Amino acid sequence: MQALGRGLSRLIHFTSVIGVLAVTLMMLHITADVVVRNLFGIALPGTIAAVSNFYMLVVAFLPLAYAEEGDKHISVEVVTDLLPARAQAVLRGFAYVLSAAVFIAMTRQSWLEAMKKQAVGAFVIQEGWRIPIWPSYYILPVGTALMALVVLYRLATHVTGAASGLRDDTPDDVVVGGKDHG
Amino acid sequence: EELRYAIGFPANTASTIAADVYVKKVQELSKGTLSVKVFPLSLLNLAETPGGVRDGITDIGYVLTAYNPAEFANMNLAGDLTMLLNLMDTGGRDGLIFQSAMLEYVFLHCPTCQNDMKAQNQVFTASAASTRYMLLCNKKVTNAEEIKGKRLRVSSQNWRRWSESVGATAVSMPGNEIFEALTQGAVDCAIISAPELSGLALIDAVSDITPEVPGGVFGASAIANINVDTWQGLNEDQRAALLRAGTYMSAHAGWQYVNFEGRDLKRAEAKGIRIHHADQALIDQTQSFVQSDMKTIAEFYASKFGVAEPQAAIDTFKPLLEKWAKIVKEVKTPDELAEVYWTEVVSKVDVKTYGM
Amino acid sequence: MSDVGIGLAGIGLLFLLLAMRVPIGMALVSVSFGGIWYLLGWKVAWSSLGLIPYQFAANWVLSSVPVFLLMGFVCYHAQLTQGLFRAARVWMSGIPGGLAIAAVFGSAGFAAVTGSSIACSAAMGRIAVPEMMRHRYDAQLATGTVAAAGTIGALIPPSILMILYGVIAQVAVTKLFLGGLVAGLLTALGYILVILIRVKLNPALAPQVREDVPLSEKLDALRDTWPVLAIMLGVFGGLFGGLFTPTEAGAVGAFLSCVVAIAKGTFTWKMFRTAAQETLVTTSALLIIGIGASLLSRFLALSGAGDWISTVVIDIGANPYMLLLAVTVMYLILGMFLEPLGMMLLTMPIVLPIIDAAGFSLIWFGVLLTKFLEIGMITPPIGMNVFVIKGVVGNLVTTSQIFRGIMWFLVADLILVLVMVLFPGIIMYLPNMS
Ligand code: NA
Ligand code: NA
Repeated sequence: MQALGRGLSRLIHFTSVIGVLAVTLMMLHITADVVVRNLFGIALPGTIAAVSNFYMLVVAFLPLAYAEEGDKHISVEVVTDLLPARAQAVLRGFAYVLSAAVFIAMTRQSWLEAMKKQAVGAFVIQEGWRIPIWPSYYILPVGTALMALVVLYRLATHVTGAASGLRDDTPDDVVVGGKDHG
Repeated sequence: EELRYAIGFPANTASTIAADVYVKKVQELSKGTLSVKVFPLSLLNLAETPGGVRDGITDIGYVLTAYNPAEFANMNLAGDLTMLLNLMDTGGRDGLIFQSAMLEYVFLHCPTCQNDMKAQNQVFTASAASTRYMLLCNKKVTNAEEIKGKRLRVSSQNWRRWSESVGATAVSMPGNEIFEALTQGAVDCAIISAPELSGLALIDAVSDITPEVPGGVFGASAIANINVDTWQGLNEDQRAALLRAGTYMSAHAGWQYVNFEGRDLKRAEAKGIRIHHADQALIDQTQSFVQSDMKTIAEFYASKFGVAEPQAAIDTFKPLLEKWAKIVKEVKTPDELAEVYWTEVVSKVDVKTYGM
Repeated sequence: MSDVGIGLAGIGLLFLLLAMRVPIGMALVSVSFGGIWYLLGWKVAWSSLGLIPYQFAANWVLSSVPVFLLMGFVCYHAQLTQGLFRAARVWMSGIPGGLAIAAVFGSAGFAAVTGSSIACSAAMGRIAVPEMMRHRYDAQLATGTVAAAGTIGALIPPSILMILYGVIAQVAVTKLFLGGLVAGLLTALGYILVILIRVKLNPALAPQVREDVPLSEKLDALRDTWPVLAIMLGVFGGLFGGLFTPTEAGAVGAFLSCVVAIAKGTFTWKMFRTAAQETLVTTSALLIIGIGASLLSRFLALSGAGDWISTVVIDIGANPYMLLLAVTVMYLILGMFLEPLGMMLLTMPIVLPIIDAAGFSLIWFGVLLTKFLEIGMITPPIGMNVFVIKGVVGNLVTTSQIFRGIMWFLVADLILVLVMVLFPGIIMYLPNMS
């Protein structure tokens, strides 16, 4: 069980590396576009497509599991904190079941959508370039499937009481993390 | 039976006002067997609508085919021919002429357009076009000298190529960023239609307008596409009613755009915005650009979109524009235009087989 | 059950799930999916799940959210903001409650480089709270000040809440920013008055700091504020000078803060990676809620419950001030329990049409809404800023002590809300000029 958790954890770490790359590229790409436009009066082809159809999807969907591993998805604790520990544990299990169902459903449907987009070879035209966007549709099911796996694994360790191989907090020391947006 | 009609524009815009007429006409023509509930922006936005009609989230949808260049390549090719309007006498009714030609083209002369629609699980029943695209600027831009080096916000490849041909820089950005870009000077002009003076609130960001250039309209709009499963579940009378109601939707949407153009240009003048005439040399330069751009479009659609005979499509479409330029000139009311759509085009569609 | 009934039942079920501690995003998605299924069948429900998440995330304007977050995280981890508090401190040391006032100034400065109030209170909490405790400031005053002052972070631009509001309400983000600047500065002013009044009434709260700082050191401290000033100048100068759009400003700002960190010698890859990882976690936790709220608004539209609620509220609040009072009370109550972004996305589909129909400016309302959401960050029992400060001070101060310290600042906030409602011109002056 723990070995499975560690394997998942490594997979998640790998997606976080890709995520870091994507957010870094997004910053550099937009900045380069601004600089080139103001200095030379030309536009880099496809900045908007790259940002909205690729980086944004990586940044939105790949780290779902990474956030879950660090328990950074946002919920309202105020009511459950008043309940006895036993009831809290049951509710926690229920939340895992519901989350797993949601992400399995999202995985199925976004996979089907990606196949439809691949079949027509969806693309956008920007600055006269033809930029294929259908591959970006596959980022969704990858991110949501990994998320579903983590939730199912958490459910299993929650029910069996087995030790988790996941890192329970993100590698930084900051309180803010996933709840930072107020 | 109640049909959902998703329109990705807010209430009180040209399309939603026309939709009110459509709702009445469907009710009346179907003898009360069909009703339509309009969802202005609340059900699907413009980017979601093509997929939403395909999957049946909505029964009817206001589909801008340009949002899906791969899926609707053939109709988009016709949509890209709009600058041809620069070569004819339009009497200021550019959009109405274009949407009429598009309506006839898709219904009667473009089987590949129909195949594209079918592949996306939808049936075409109406089209509309914006009014003329012009230069809405934060400074005076009227001649070749002034336009050189200016940054112009463009929304499609036509105007990009035109901008480059006059030595300006084309910039793409979403519609809701234009206001800020014009205010702060990130762009000098937006190439867009006059009703966006109110639609995107550009009236507060613009100081100078040059209506004659670059011309062309936004015309790749299948404004009442119906989900195939919904369509096939209706009886023949109901389908006929929807086809006929579609002529009213088309006519009223286009007519409403024309009204808004007049209203917004008047408001702009009253507010002290200067409306200029373009320099004749710039107009001539634009016309010769349009001539040569047809070849570019043909090559572009052959190489990038895999359209089999783009030149044949252009040769079919151009005479339609010329035909409708003559017809539209005589029309006095939107209901009259809807009537012409029926007699000239839609009555020739076989309701037994269309979309089945 | 009628369609409207189903919509209302869906809202009820949603609150039940939230109370059961189901993560907000998952609760929203499951209720909307189930509701659309019930209304229109499985095919439509499945399709909306396939279509809407992609379209929601693949959004150019939304891309400024992760990059503005990155900018704030880089500024914090590369210690670009520390000099700000030091400068405020040495210049305020003579004034009663000077350290607390310095913390408010520090927060207002940090607000200009971060889009979120939690980041603001976390950063300032670590710098300012230990300093105040060392000088024997009252614990309630010290912690309450920083928790409250953190809310300025989302009012003074950039602001993640305002960017999202602008995207959804289709209004100009720069106008919201200008309105937010005024609201943020007024908030800071109100908090400073609260500190001055409290210390005047009870000087024991803030013992006078005997610090004879020579002018040379005072000037020296000013020099240390250059990193934040440079980033602010670059971002706002470029934004209002037409070099880039508000969407691009985030990326430029994040890049600038990296450059400044390199110049200051505090840039490391480890630091950058930490900042980027926090950005990822925060963005995906945010966007899944956004997707859920987007689905919910379709469900409410299809059921007609959204229209129904709007009609009822408009009928009740025939007087616009009654309507605003109802909206204010609703946000104060929701704000006690809910997290601001979720609350905003949750309520906008219902509230915006009402506000629009009543003829209020959507820019003004966006600023007011941000203020409401930020008040929620410091009201019990769930006050994120308070929890952040609690994390900084550990066992020295209890959560309820911090909440008690906040009460005074809440009074100032409520007065400010009243001013914003009665004199909308104060907020709208700058946006109307631009
Ligand atoms: Na801020
Ligand atoms: Na609260």
